[in-house]
Amino acid sequence: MTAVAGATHPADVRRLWDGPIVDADIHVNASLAGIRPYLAEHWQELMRERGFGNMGEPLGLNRVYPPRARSTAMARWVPDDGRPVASDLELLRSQILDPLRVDHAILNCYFAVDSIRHPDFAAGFASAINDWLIAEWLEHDDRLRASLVVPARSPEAAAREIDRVGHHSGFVQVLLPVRCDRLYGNRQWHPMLDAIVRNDLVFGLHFGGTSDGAPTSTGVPNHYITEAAGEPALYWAQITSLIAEGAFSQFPDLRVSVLEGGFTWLPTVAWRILKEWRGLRRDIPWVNEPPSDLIRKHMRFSTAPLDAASGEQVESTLRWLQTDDLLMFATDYPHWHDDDVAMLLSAGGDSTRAKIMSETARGWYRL
Amino acid sequence: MGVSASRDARGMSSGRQGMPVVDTDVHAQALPDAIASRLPLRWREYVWGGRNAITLADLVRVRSFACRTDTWPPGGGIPASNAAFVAEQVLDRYDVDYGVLDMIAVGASGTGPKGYVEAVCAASNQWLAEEFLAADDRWLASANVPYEHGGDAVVRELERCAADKRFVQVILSMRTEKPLGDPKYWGMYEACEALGLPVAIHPATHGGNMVTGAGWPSYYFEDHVGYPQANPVHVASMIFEGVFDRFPGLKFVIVEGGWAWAPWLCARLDATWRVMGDEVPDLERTPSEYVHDHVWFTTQPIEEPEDPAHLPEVFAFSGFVDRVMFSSDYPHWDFDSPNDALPASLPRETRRKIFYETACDLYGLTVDTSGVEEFE
Repeated sequence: MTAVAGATHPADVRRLWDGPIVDADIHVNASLAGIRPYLAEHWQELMRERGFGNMGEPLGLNRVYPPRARSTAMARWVPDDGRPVASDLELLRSQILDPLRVDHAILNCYFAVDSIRHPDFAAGFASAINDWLIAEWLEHDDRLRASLVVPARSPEAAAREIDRVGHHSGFVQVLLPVRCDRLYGNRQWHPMLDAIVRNDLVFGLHFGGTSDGAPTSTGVPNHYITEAAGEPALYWAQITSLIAEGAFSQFPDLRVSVLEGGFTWLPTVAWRILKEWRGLRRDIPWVNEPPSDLIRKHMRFSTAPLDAASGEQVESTLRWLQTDDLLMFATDYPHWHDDDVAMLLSAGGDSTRAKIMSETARGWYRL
Repeated sequence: MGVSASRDARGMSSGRQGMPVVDTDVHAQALPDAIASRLPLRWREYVWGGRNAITLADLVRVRSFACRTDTWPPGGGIPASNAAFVAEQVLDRYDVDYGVLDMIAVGASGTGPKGYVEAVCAASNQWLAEEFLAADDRWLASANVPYEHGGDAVVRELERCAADKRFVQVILSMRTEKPLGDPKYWGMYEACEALGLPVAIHPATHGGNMVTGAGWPSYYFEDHVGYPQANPVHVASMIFEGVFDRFPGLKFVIVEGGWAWAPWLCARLDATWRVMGDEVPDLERTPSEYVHDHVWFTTQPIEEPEDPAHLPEVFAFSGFVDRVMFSSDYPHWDFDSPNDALPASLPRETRRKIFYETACDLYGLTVDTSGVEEFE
């Protein structure tokens, strides 16, 4: 097993690319101690009385990013001084923002709100995370933007939270885990999609989440490596759902970022959706544009994980997609994917590289 | 070859150019009483009072039985229930050399008491043998086994079917109760390896899980688009649980699940393993090597890049040219004709492999290649 220097090493990236960079997926890790002051007193009391956190709650966090999985934190990002990984702004600045010389970075804080079943506590928890993101991150560094989090089991509560904080200039996106209990195209989500669009935010479809059944269509995998390797197929289901249910007809301004799911699968998935639409339009007559056009118009994809065996694989992907406008560079700091950024940057000329490294994200997130 | 076969039936002017065809996915569908009459009395009553296991049909089909409207047999019955009519519409009309029949027995995916599922699988295999295999030498069949309940009954049914060499593989519904690397399926793999039978999966009923890992979709369209979605997890699970290390002769066939995603999956498996391979330290090889050595695919529905000129590139880049086999999926609405599915822009060598060579190797068949030579 060889460890290849990954795209997450700023020096590797900077050796290959001297132009502007927007990092479309950087993680920050919240902690219960950190967000506690931002919780209403009765939720703090609930946590104290009931020992919430003593078993590792919110429990979804350990399912999605097991603490001992080597993908959860690349060894080089683990501080020697005992501070948790990606837990404060100084760490982020010194490890990634400064050496990578980013113009902007989009922060994602996956704290498994979706795994909290108590609807009101989940809503309070999401609000606390968002207030923490504003107070401790967004207001201290102009380069930062963030995804807000929502109680993702209740479309109405999610919409309320989006309306509460979505106007903050630091929030550009709503973080929605790819695994949920009802596919996001379903009409029950319309109030949330409406709130995303009316607040001029992006729908950030991201790795992780909690479903009401098995995490795959074929049961519960016994190994985390199996679940993680297969998880991109769940993005295929979500993309299909958003298209099939007419989300882009209902919300013509809806923008969807596909994050931490890869993209080298996209041509074959887009072709299949397009082909089936040609054959089955009567099933979904409100889809009145070719789905492949809807994908190019309404979706962008982060580049970590790269999931390519060669530069040729990336290059073929772009050629088959017939556009180089869809990719947004991301380190996915501090997660570890064995990505070789040289493969990504070999996929096109200077104009393609500039789009991938900053221009597409800048336009998409209106930075 | 049937006497009704004309030169035209072999698609002389199409991408087929007179090549033999092994159609690796033709459906047979038994009427309920055809199965019931082959069940022991104990279970015959149960069929009539039985639950409807095909919950996927909750997603309203685009056509009755999702079939071409011209496949309803003139003498009555349901599409693909009449062997002579299927032979006429598939084998004769397109001069197909062999057709592999896939009938996924209702209930085989585990819905029902163990004894019932075992009896239905046996009755389904018997029906296939009596109605189809006996009627035409060009038919081959996939065997049904009670794979979710497992146990000795699986091995017994496999051995019984394998005695007839025209049962060339075993078939499972694609959405199983557990990912296919799970130890509950190892007994079946051991028997399949010993008997030389590939294990095939095909979209059908499901093992009690939701249609996606994020709940049920609303439309048949989503289900149908989603057929490939279970495959990455199956392949990952079989590799990482050591199935191919334990059963190095095992062959796995993904029917109607697409194949152009395979290069992505190989890259994904390898990258994931390079990072977290410490969870599966016993794995003997790089994950993508198992995919190349153990996994086969069928074509229907054939990949259609937006720019058709990209199809040859997709095949060439995939590295799976010798693992993809032609299939028509008769009688379903999205049937691929052997004479239209593969464009002449694909290299001849690639088309030969897809139309018959790979299937002949996998299933141990020989075909008459005399029609091919005039194009060489």
